[in-house]
Amino acid sequence: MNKMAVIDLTARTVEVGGVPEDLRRRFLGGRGINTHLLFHMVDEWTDPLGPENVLLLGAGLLTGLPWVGGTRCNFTAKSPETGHLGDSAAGGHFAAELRFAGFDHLVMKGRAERPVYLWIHDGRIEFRNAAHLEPLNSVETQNAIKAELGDVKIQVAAIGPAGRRLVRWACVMHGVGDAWGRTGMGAVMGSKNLWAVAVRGNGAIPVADPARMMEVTQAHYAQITGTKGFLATSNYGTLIRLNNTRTQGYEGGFNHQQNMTELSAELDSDVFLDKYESAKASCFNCPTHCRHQHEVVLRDGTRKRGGGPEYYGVGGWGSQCGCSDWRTILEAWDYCNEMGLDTGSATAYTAWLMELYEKGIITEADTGGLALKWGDHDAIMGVLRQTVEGRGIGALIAGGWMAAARDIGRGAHRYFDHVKGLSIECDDVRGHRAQVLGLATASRGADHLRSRFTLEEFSLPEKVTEKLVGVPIPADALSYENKEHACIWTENICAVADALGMCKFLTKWLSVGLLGVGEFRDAIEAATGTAFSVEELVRVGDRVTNMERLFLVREGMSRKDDAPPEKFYRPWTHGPRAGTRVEPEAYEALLDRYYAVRGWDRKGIPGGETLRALGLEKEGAFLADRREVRFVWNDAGKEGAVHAAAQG
Amino acid sequence: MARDYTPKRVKAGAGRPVAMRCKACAGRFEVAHPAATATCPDCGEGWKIRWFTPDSGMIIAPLNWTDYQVRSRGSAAGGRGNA
Repeated sequence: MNKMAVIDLTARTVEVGGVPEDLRRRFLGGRGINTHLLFHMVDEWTDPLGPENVLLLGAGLLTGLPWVGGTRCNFTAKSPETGHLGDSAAGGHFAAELRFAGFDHLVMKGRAERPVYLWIHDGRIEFRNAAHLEPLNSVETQNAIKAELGDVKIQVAAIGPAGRRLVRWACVMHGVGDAWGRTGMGAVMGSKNLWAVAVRGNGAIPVADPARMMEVTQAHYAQITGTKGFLATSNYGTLIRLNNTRTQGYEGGFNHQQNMTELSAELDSDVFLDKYESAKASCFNCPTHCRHQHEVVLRDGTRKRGGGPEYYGVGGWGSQCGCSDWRTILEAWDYCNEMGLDTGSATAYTAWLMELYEKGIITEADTGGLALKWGDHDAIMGVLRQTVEGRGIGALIAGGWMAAARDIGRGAHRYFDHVKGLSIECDDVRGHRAQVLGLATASRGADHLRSRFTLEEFSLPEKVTEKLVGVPIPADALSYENKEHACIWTENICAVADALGMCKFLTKWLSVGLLGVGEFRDAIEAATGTAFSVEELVRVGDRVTNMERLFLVREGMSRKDDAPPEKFYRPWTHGPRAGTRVEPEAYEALLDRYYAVRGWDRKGIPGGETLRALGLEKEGAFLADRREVRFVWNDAGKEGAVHAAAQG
Repeated sequence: MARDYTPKRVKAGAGRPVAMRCKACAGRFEVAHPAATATCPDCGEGWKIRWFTPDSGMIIAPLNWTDYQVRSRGSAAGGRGNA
C-alpha cells in the first residue's frame, strides 16, 4: 500500500504513514484528499507565502495503473495569487513515477533554511542542496538534477526563476510543456525554498484483481479510441478550440472587448500543425497523445524546440492580445515554461495591460518604456521579461493583479476579467449559460476544468442529456432552463476525475462517448477491490465540491463571489450572435436554482442537512461564527480587504 | 496546406455522408467523404473539411478567413443558440 509523507522543510524531517482508509473512501485521492488536508492544515489567516502554508502533492487513486489516462496529480495550497483555494493538476509522467517510488501524497510544510530539492526514490526521501541550480531555468533545472543523480528516467517537478523570485502566478513545471499552472503553486514552492521534487521508483502499485483490471482497461481503451472525436482530439489537442471559437464568435478578443476579431488567417490551428508541429507526445499510458511538440525559428534566428502550445496560450496571446504571429506566440509560450510562469495568467495580465495602455490609464512612464500595442512582439515579450526580472510594469504584476491595480489606480481593476481573483479563460462563454454558471461558481476561481459544461457547445438532443445528467438540458445554449443541473453534473464528474488522476480529455466532460462515473467505478473496483456504486461516486464529487466551498466560505466568500466578470453583462458586438449578453435577473435566478439543488442557502452557504448527508458537519462547525471578506474599491481604485462582522 | 492525417484505410474507402453543423448559421448539412470542402446550403458559407475516418469529419476553418470575418462580423443578431 502506498504511503503519505509529511515533510517538514524547516526541521528537515520526514514522517511516513499510510493513507487512512476512511479518507480514501470519502475523497479517493488527488484533489479530493488534498482538499481535505488543506482545509484542516491552514486557516483564513494563513499567509500563502509564509512557512505556515502547506504545499500538498497528491496523486490520483488510479494514477500509474495500467489503466487508460490515470496520469495526473495535484499541487494544492493556499494560493498566493488569489488568496484562497490554490490547486492545479498536471499530467506527464511525474505522478505515475511518484507512485512507483512508493508515495501517493506528500505534505510539505515549513521553510527550508537554504534552497533544497527532494529526491524521492523507492520509499526514501532525501533533502538535497539546490543552491547550484539558481542560474538555471525550469527545464535546465530538471536536466541538471537528472545528470546529478545519474538517471535520465527520473521525473522532476521544478520551479523556474519566476517561482524562486516569488512571482505570485508562478507555476511548477514538468518536462518542457506540462505545468501545474494556475493559482501560483510555483510561488508557494519557492517560498519554501523548495526548488524541485525528483522522483524515481521501481515499485509496483498493487492491483486487487489484475485480470479484471486488464479487462476493464481494454474495454475503456476501445471505448475511448472508438469515439468519433478521438482522432480530432489526437490531432488537434486543445487547439481544436482555436478555430471553433474564432469561427463561432466567442473567441474573446482584445481583453474580451470583442467576441470576433479580424486577426489574420495565420491564427489557425492548421497553420500550426503544418508549419511548426514537430511531433506528438503522450502522458503516461494515454492513447490520445494530444500534446504538441514544436520547432520554431525565432525572430533572432534561434531555432527552438518546445512542448505545446495549448489553446489557453494561443488564444491568450492570439485573440486576447491581438497577435496572429505564431513565432511570437511560441516564443512567449516557451519563455513562460522555461521561467515557470503560468501561461493562463501571463496572457490575461498582458491583455489587461494592453487595454489599460490603449485607454491611456498607463503610459510608457508606467511600463518601463514599453509601448503596449496590441499584438506587438516586443510588448508581449517585454511584459514577460520584466515580470521575471522584477522591473518596470512587470514588478507590479508579479505581485498579482490586485496589488498592481491598487498601485496603478485610475480604475484599472475594472478592466481585469476574473472570478474570485483568478483570470478568466481566453474564450468568451457568455453565450453558453451553463458555462457562465460554471465559470462563476468554480471553486478555485474562473475555471474551465472543474465546471465547464463543454457538451453545451454540441447542441445535443435533450434525450441524450437527460440520460447523462438526469434532467433534459435544452440544446439551445442561450436557454437558462435546467442549466444548474448541467453545471452540478460537471462539477461532480470533474471532482471525481481529479481525485482519480484522470485527464478530462478522456471523460464525458469532453464527449458523451468517453468515460463516465460508471467506468470509473469499474476501474476502482478492479484496482482496489473496493466497491462503489455510481451514486456513491457522485457523492464523492459532491463532497469534494462542498469541502472546497466550506474552504471558500471560511475565507469570507459567498454569493457575491459567484458572479461572472462585469463584461459578460454587456452584449457581444459582432458575429451571428451579436447582442448576446448575460441577463442579470436570469443569471441570479439560475444561481438561486443552483444553490437550491446543491443544498446551499441563498448566500451560497452549505446547509446543515447537506453537510450532514456528506459527513462534513465537523468541518462546517465554523459556520456559526463565519466572517465575510469584502473587496472594496474606492473612487481612486484603491483596493482594501475589509473583514466584516460575523454574519448570521 | 496542412499536414494530411487521414489514415490509409480511410483514403481507400468512401464513407457515408456525415451531418455537420455550419459554424456560421448553425444549420445542419451532409458532407460525403472525402470532400475537402463543403458549402452550407442554408447560408452559402464555404468550409474546409478535415476527415479522420470515413464517418468522422469536421469543419475546421472557413475557406477564406478574411471574407468570413467581414461577413460574420457584420451579420445581424438572432442566430440560434449554438452558432
